Amino acid sequence: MPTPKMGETVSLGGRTCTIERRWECRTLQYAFGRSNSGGAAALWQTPPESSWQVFAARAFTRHIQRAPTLLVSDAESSRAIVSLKPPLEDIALWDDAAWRRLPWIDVVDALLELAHTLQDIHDVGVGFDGLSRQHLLRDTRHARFVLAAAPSLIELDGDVELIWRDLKFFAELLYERAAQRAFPGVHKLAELLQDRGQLVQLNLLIPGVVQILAGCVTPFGKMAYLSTQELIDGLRHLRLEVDEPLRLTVGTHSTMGGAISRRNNQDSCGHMLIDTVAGSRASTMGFFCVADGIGGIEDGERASSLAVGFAGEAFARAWAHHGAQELMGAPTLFARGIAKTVSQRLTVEGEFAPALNRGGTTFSGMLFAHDRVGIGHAGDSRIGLVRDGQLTWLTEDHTLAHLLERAGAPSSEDLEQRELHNRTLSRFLSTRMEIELERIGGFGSHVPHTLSLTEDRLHDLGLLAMRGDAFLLTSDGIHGVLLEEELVELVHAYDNPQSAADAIGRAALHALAKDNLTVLVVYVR
Amino acid sequence: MLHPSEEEAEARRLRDEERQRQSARSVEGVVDLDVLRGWGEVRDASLRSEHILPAMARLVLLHGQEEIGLHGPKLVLGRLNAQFGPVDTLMSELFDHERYRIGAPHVHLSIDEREEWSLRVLTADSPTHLNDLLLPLGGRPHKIKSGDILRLDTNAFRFEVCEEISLSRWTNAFQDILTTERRPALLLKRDGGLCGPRLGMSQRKLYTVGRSFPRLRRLPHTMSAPPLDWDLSGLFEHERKHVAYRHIALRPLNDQDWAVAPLSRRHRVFVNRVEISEVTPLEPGDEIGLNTILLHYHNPRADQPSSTHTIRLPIASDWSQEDTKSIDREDLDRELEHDANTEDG
Repeated sequence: MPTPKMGETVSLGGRTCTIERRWECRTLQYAFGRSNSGGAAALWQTPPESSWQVFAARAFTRHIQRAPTLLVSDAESSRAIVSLKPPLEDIALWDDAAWRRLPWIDVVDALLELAHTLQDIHDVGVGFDGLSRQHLLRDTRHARFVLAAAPSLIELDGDVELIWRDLKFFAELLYERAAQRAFPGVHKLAELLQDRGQLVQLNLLIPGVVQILAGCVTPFGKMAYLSTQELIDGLRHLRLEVDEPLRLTVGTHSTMGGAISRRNNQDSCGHMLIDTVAGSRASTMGFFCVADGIGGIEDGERASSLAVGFAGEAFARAWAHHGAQELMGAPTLFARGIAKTVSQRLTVEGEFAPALNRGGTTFSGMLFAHDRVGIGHAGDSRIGLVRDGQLTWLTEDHTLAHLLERAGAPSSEDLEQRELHNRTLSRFLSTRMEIELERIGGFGSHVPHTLSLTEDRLHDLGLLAMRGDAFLLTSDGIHGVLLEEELVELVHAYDNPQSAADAIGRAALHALAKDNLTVLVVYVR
Repeated sequence: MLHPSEEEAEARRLRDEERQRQSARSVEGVVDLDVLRGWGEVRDASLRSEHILPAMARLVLLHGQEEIGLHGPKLVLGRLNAQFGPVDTLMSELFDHERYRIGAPHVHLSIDEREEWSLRVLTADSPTHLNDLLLPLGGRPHKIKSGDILRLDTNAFRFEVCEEISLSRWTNAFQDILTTERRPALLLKRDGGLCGPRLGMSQRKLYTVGRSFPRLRRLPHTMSAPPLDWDLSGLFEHERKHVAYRHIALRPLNDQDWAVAPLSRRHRVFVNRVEISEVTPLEPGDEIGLNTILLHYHNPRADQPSSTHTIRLPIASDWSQEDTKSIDREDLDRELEHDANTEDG
């Protein structure tokens, strides 16, 4: 096939391709084009005497899953044409400006994926004889690179120098991203690494980055990487350093309210936050809950305050024995387990100190594990999520009114009866009899599954929290009188959760709530 | 508007989804509740084992896959209202909103010597339909046969008789179980029939029945209580909640008989479906109810053959055997504490 010209249309294996760019490299020529079906393709010719095509076949067909490329050969032509077709639509050529703008977490993730691809190819004993950005295409939708060409594939034969030739590309890219200027070459970089002042000036003294630069600079230096695995380890550490984990701040407001008939506050709320940083890995674990007591004056108050205390104990034990990873893996199951524990613990009080423990309580608990959220709930207190200007209630009220609604019964004509149905609880935590696990609610069935990521895993994996979210835990003294829009407005008006909680409490008070008022606000930043 | 069979399939799918979301098993498989509690429970796996007496009939939920097995000749079905005594099956397969309007209790099902089943309506609060015919409260029992559709409020079941398990065959199996049990014992019942787990009472001593509980210094009664002889923590979720941590004590009377004493102030104890509040002597074949958890009392005395439970009033105090004073519950508590202290001492 004669060398295609710019703008020319070429047909290859059933597809037609318009050439957008051409390069020449050694004895090879290759071109990048966009095919009529929208995909991109890079093509080149093999030199007649080399066994290069064997290497290409070995390297790429074995690793089709890892390398986002596809190998096709034109069987008809007497000269083999190897085409790498990235199966992605939003593909574009390398763009220096775009690279320098990419957020650090995306930078590291893209380099990690490229490094893994490189490792697979090195494992087969083949190297690129130097990666170049001209060999990469980028996926404009996600921070990913596509290896689109490999014109100089070479057998490694255990030669460290050849491995280094591929690794130094990573130093190039990191340098440009950090310093926001063109890579000055490996010798200049080696010099710079001796000069702390210059490193600071060029913004290269970033933990994790400077180590990779040193590792990639020369194969003969003390800190040099001798394998792609070392580069991958370096990138993983960098990822920990650039990762900005979610931070939680909390505000609470709980008062007896302004109703003359309420002589005490039967509501309780509480939270525990465990923030740790281990080997640069930051993690936040938390448990938040609201409990609205039921029964005579002291009975309700005692039950709800005991519930909050027991929940904290159970959460701490869960964290201590199961550990953060397990909690992250099933936050809803743990939150429901905590609610069950609270329920059972209340019945121990109820049986062995019955005179003091006759009441019951609602319980709405939220478990936060790194960035996953789970819920364990019984009663008519609520947990809501404010995101993108909308409030979504995450729990279902366990009231008679809601039960009748699910049973398909028409709502009562009588206003008084409707109010009664709204106030009558179908599930709560009692000091007399514990509640079954199956009846401890998690996320309500109306909650969109998309909050969990892509799969329907709210019931165990839970919800994925995002920066900017706000969670509200409220007793019915709050959500019974304030509209969703009002709550959203109040959350947006304050940049700290305590002020928001106080404002919500005040708003409910002025709306003449007939009940105790309790709200717990969690900001995710 | 969905086609009827599509509607059924949809209803089935919704129930399955709901079940999966609520499943206790998935929590128990991942979360170590003993760790969260801070105390270990003794969970005997045999308490969740299969029935040893087969089902004589079944109620199959039309819009789901669940079945309620009828494992005995006489059963009370419906929601539990403690005032009206235990029920034989709790209908735990239904969700709250389905169970809501079922009567507490709703129906009584029984099989007679002619191997015919009949149904008695026990509530007027909620409708009962047999093959679309509304049945009134009380009155004569209605015959029910295989294939009949029974509706308790809006919940529809198909009644199916297990032809191979006749009453006589069931009765023989029942007698066999009792014959092989040579010591006095309490045998757990479920869905109307014995299901296997039991407490053997070979020694003439006090036996306590309840559930594992923590020893907490601020709750002194937990510290002084003796260990349990039969720990029912291993029962299913919807059953175990009915059992108090210290629910009953079985106390030997003379050298052959036993009496049952309630230990919990907040949980009920029934003998033959009548609530008791004091120590009550037992007759072989009596049924003890811990709220709604039913136990068959077996005592293979030579002179009295065991029978299926009969509903009788408990004998109040009129017996003339030695050593049978009526015991105040507080005295019994003190006695139990003393036993515990002497054991520890």
